[in-house]
Parts: sequence; C-alpha cells; structure tokens
Amino acid sequence: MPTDSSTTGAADEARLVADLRAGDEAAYERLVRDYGGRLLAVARRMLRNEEDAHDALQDAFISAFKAIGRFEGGSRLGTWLHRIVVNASLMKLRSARRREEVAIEDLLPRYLDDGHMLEPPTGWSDTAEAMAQNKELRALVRQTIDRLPENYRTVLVLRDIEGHSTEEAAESLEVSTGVIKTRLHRARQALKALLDPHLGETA
Amino acid sequence: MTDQNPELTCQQFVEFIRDHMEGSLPADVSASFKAHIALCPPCVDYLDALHKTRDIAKLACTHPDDELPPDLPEGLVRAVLASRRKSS
Repeated sequence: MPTDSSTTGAADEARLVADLRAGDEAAYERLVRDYGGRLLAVARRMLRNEEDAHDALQDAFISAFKAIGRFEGGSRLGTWLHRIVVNASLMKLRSARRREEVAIEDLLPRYLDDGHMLEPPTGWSDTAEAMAQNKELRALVRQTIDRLPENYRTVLVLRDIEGHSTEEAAESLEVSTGVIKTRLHRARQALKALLDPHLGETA
Repeated sequence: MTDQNPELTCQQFVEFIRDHMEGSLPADVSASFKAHIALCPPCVDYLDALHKTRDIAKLACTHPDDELPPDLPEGLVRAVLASRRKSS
C-alpha cells in the first residue's frame, strides 16, 4: 500500500471521522472533495475507462459511507479509502466485457529440451527512468499493459503500480499468494516480450 | 547461455526470477542462482529487462504529465452525495 501523505493531519482526520459517524452532511462532502481526486486516479489506472472509473468511485464512496462506523483509527483514512476503491474497481472489472487480449503462453520464453532458451532474450540497454522521459513511449507502455489478459493485468496493476503487497493482492483477488507471485511473473514476462520490439537493443 | 553451469538450467533460472524479485528466493537456491548469473550473460539480460519492465510500468502509469487533473468533476461530486442520500 502506498504511503499516505495525507490531505489532513491526524487530528483533522479524527474529527472528520467523528463528523462522518455523526451523519454530518458537510463532512461527507469534505471527504469526497479531499480524497476523491486521488481515488479517481486509482480507478482510472485500474479500469482505463472514464465512465467505469466514475461508477467505481461512486460505489466506493457509498461503501465507505456505510462502513465508516467500522473504520479503525489504526490505519489512515486515505489508505482505507484506497483499499475500498480498489475493491470497487475489481468488482467493476469482473462485470466488464472482455477486451481483445493476447495469449500469455505465446509471450513466455521457449526452451530446448536441455533447458536453454530457444532464442537469446532481448536485453534493454536504457534505464527505465531514461525511457520514461519519452511521452509516446509511456503511452505505448500503458496501451501494452491493457493488452494483457485481465487476470494478469490486474495483478500487475495492484502490485507494480498501486504498490500493494503480495498478501494484500491475494486477499483482494481471493487467490493464494503463490498464484499472485506466478501471475505477476508471467505478466512482467509477457509485457517485456510485447515491449521488446520497441525497447530492445536490437530494435 | 552456457553449458558449464552444473546447477540451474536457464529455464529453472527464469522460473526462480519469480521468487528473486519477490525477495523470497529459497536459501538453498540462492548460491545456484548467483552462480548462473556469473556464467550466463543472456539470462542476466533477461533478469535486467524484467526489472526494467517492472519499473517502466510504474513510471508510465503514474507520470504526473499524463494524469488527468486530480480535480473531481463537479457533477461526480454531486452524484456521489446524491446517491448517499438515496441509499441512507
């Protein structure tokens, strides 16, 4: 989970939570205005569709309003809300229509019988930071992530982009930590293969 | 790729990258993993590119120049608050 450089200090946050629990209408509005922008960015990254992201944000706030009585002060409000919007986005993803996806098996290395790679892998000479300076390249990377099969893309987004731990991702997706680790590894392998023609040394 | 590594094949090495990048490489594999790195430049390239893949994914999806403004559309704020009133 990302560090929560919160909009509000701890004392302000405690007051806001108390006001929310008391049903204060102004507190609801403040919660939406203070946290909504960041949460919408999360939903956008997960759903890549503005309408779906708005729906997920709305669902997330409804869930949060209902559950505020169970919010424990041990975690930051922003962290708690982040988790709720991720879950709302996952629900939305499950009901979304399937996009055109690549087959993951076609993007993994192939091996000879003795365990050597059939073809030497393509190396990437530039650093990630240098590559990320290029706006078109960043757009290409995002579009390529979107082509990954949904099960793999979701794990990559949760782990590598949203910064969730393996355990958190396993809990959100209701699978074992082993499944998360393997899907993440496959997702990175597939993403690398799809980006090789653009980022590889021999390109 | 080399024929001199008695421990891990390239295929096994690539599968153990999963645990290596999680920081959970089994202790009994660690030496073989390192030995393979010392002997097999293509696998080192592969490992390096996977680290870069992980990093570029994050950088490409969170670059401040590409994100829409964090302001919420006013209509969405109204919709959220209206749906709360309806559901409460």
